[in-house]
Amino acid sequence: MKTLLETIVRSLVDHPECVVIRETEQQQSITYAIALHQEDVGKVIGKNGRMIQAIRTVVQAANESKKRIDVRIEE
Amino acid sequence: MKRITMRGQTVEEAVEKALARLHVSKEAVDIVVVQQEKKPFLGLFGGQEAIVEVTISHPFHCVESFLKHVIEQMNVRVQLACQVEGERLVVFLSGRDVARVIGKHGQTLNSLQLLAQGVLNRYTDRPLRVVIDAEGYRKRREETLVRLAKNMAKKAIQMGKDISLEPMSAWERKVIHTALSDDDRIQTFSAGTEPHRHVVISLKR
Repeated sequence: MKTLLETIVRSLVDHPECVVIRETEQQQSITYAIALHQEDVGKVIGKNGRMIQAIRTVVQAANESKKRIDVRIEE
Repeated sequence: MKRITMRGQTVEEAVEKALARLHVSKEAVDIVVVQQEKKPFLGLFGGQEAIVEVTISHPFHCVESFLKHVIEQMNVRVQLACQVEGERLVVFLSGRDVARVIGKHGQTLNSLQLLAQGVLNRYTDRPLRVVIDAEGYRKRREETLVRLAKNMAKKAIQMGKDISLEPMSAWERKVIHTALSDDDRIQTFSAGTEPHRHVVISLKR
């Protein structure tokens, strides 16, 4: 799942080497916090959050565990 | 980002650095060697770096390999076939797990398309499009929407009231507008802002 997120995010940004994803597991959910180069934040969020929403949808579709998946962007 | 210039000790090194920077494979680019490297004379004078100019000439190729990776890592059994139609790349998905990549009301399919479009925009300055279809889903969805449009138009006329439809994507709204454009008893327009923009069918008076 982390690899999938990395593939998606790295392909969208101008500074793929700056993409760092931190995974934390809770009881009901798994959170992925994405750290980005400052210039890339807008690109990954997209207009009205469309891009990040699309990322969440795709990750959710790939999710085979029972847990909910949260995708956040770190500031 | 379409073209970059890169320096290196050798031509190969410069090319490799450029590909890593652009995040693409060699098949997607054109390479022009601006300057060959030269070994310094007696290991001391007149050495020259190699300079290459790397241009992304096949942005569709980048999108295709992006989608291949994503599908592989989603762990779904889906095949991918691509077709270039002028300014558009049409991607057909098929196979056992195709339902999973379509999702509810095509949600996942639309998301994949949006991501692919985002990747494409990064690799080209031209107005190129990518459309992703799965087992004829777009066609079926279009038929469903046309049927819905006709039924709702009938209902609006019977009740003598305006009818608002569910929020839809731009493409889906267009299908509705087109389906009802030749009915002169009603008119259609879109209201609301994304992502809640929807078609309203209203009576002509």
